[in-house]
Amino acid sequence: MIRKKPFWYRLSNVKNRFLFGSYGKDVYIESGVVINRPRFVHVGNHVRIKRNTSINLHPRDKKSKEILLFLGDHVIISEGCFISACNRLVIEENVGVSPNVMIIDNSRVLGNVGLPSKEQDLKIGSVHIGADSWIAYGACILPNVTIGKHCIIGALSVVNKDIPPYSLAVGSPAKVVKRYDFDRGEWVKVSESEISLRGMDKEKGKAH
Amino acid sequence: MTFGHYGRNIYIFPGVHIIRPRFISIGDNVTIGKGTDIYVHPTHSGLKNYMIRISNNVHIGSYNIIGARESIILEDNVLIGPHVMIGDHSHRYENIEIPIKLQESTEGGPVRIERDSWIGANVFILPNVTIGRHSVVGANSVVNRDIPPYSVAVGAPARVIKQYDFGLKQWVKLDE
Repeated sequence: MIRKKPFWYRLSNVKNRFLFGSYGKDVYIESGVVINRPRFVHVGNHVRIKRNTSINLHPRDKKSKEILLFLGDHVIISEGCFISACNRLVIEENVGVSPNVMIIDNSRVLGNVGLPSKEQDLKIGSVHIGADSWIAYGACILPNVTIGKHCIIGALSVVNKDIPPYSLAVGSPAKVVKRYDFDRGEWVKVSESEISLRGMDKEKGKAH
Repeated sequence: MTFGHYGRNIYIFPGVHIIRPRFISIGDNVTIGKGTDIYVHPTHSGLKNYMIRISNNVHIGSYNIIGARESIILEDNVLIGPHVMIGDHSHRYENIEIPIKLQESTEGGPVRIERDSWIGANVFILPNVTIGRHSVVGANSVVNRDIPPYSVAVGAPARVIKQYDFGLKQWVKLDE
């Protein structure tokens, strides 16, 4: 029951090198991972995808050679994740994705009342997750979202807007709770930092 | 593979991953659902006490994740739904030079789920939490504070919405 890299994972890597769009060194994809159309995926070096993850790719032009899903170096995707890419979904290097996270870049337009939702047009966006970030358990990242560098997304939160770099966001919809203050060199709560900034402005006004 | 303590009449479904089972004690009549991951990260390998203690008549649903660095205790007759994550440690993020993935985990604190309680589906239980006796945690909630005994808690972060009143002998809704 102890999980180790099985001896045949090197062989499966040789096989995967032909299937994927581009494939790095020392990649470990565990059993039970389902990837349809792997030739639209770029996998960097030292990537690990844990079991029961499903990655769906739905290219508009099935003969094109552009890459829809980009996984950078040292990315880890844990158990039971769901990733769906139609246009462009980038996960930069050193990103950790916790179990049961959902990352999608496409959803349905619910404009026409006469049609069932599954027959309506797809709304296609793009998702970008910055380097060094951490996405905690069960979060959901919706289309047209950019998450900056070194961000933390809290557990079971729903991200529907852009998150600035160096910040901690929680809740559904996700709101920024903490941010790294480069002047002070520490993490500060967002309301506090805003107050302090206003105070600084006032002091500056007095000085002038 | 040897468990620290292994009771009678246990059923562990296929597809359960357990890392370092010698730090785990399991009581009688326990069921662990499929796809569950149980991780133990002891501070040093010579540790003698059990880090995860699962008592009698506990049912753990499918696709759960239980990660222990300090101690996790599930008391008698606890029912845990599917896709629940129980962790007693989390990641540090303060140093902006190092990726969060590579920073060492926090010290955390023990998690304890007392007798007869019920945890719903997709719940996330943070470190340093005690869930009181005979209480219910609703689906999709994030528990970051202690929950008193005989209460119903829902939401992210979880708030107590109902409690058992021993004078009236019924469950009473709590207003804000």
